[in-house]
Amino acid sequence: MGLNLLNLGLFYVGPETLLPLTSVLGAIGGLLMIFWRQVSGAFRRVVGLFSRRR
Amino acid sequence: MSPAGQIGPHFSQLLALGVWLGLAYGFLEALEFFVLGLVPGALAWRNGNSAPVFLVAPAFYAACYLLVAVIVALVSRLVPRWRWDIVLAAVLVTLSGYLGASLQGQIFSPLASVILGLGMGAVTIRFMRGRPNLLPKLVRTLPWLVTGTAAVGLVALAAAAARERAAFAALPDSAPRGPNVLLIVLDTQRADHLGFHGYDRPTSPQLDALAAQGTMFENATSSSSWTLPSHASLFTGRPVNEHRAGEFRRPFLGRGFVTLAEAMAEAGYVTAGFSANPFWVGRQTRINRGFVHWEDFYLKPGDALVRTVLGRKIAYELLPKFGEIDIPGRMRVEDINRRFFSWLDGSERRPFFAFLNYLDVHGPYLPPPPHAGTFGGSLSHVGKTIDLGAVTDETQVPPPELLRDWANRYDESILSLDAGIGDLLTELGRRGLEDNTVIVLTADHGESFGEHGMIYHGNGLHRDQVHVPLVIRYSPAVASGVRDSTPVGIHQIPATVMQLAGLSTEDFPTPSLFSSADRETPVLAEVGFRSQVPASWPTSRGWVKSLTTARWHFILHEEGDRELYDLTNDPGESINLAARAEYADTVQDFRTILVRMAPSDFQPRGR
Repeated sequence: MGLNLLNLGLFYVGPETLLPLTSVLGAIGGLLMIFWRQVSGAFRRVVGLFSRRR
Repeated sequence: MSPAGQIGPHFSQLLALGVWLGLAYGFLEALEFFVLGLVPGALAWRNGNSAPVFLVAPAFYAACYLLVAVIVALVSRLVPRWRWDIVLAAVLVTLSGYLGASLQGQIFSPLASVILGLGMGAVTIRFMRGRPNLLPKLVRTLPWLVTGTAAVGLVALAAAAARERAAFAALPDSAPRGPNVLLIVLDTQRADHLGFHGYDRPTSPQLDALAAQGTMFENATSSSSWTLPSHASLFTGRPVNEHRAGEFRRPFLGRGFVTLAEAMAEAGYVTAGFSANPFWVGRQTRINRGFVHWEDFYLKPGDALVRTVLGRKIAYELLPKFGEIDIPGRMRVEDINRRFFSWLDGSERRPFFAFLNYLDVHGPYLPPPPHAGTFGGSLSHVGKTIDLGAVTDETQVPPPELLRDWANRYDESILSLDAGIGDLLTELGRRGLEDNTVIVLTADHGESFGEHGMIYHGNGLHRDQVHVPLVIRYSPAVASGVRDSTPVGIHQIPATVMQLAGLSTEDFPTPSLFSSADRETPVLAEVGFRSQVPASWPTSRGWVKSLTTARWHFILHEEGDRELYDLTNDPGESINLAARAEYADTVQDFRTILVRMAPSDFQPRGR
């Protein structure tokens, strides 16, 4: 008797399994858009910090 | 250009900006509906849509956003030096982002949709701050946007009409010689609340007369206890475990099996469907496959409202608080009749196969006048929500007096539906179609009013949820005044219709209702697991399958529980005989048959 992995629910990728992931990604995207200046400013500072050390 | 001395935007510019954003977002939302509609199952049960969305959504959002713009413009007069165009754009883009992200509820959670919307609003603010001349430029493009969205909408309508013409043109040149076929589904109509099934209330004088004119199957069972899988069986002639429509990840009918409409169209019939159930008998479920002409959405203003995301929120969350508790734009029996005859008037003179789905008795139980109150129904207990029969794990069965009131209003709805069916049959006769039209009348499932501790439907397979009416009138080929007590299923209807139309039944292997062979086979019904129902309800613990014979009703639960009822002596299924030793062999026999009829690896998952 063959083992049907899909029947076991393994490896299934569907809306109900993707919702948490897409929601987190969507929320991160939204927060990035809201705080873009702060995020990009912090990013620039960090990059600048590393480039000065060199 | 703003007047001298005024830094903020002009009043009219703000209004134009509102309309501009409304048109733009309305078009994008329509596009989202269109793209998701291409993917089977991507649009949820309340999200079905069709071509008019390309006109309706831009117009609706333009009107709504204009209203917001008027408010902002009025407030702007108090503080004229602010950049109110930025405020307005940020508000409307935030709203648009939220609505667009929440259209397909399985992609982003509500909170994520809100955050995305706010993010888009923030981007809008930054974008507009650095561009003081953006507003006049946008305003200048408004006429082009109006023209463009209107043109796209008209093209969408024209394309839909062209598709229907092409489907009609693809019919065989020679018209079939068989009779017309009218398939009538009384959505949510349990059999035992009808006069010809012995109900003690006069709910159905017209249907009683119809039953007397044809053959009535006293022991008909629907293939499932809710709409989509039952309709899928009704159209494909297959049990739920074969077509699998209505499973949790499959809220649509797949392409695996020929539908009755396809078979009839291939034989040259012009096929048309008129659905009053926009939730599970709408085109998003692919249940309309094979129909040349199909009507489901935009048939009333209320339905047009709920075809937009914002409109649906208004209709389901705001308007009920003001007493609007019926299904928005609900098509009543007279509406479906009118649409059907209107189509018939304009269609070519060739035999038709028409499908009519009536939603009059489905919850919320709101019988219209003059039938409201006939059996003592009252609206005094009705809440401020639209009660579609949706349940959660906290749903409780109401007290007996409220259940009685529900049943009263359900019966009054039947009476109203009955009168409308009488009008339909009268009009058919007036048009001279009575003798050459096969009429098949049935239901997709029943309804519980507290039996076995349940309400609504789709929660189990007891007889109150799956025993349905089934009448066929086509004199003289079908005997009149016959009451056939053979256990039958609605999945036998396709083969029956093909047989009566003189066509091959090879696409539908289940025997016709008039087949002399195999009248002893138990009738199978199936319903899947549901994640959010009370723990005491059968479907909360897994799938449920049942077999019905002339005497017995056997129910098997996924976790192993069994029920056996003697329908002859206990039609209300109050005494479960499965655990009694003297019925052990009967239970085992049924289990063996059930495993054979519904394969053991099949694990249906419900909504």
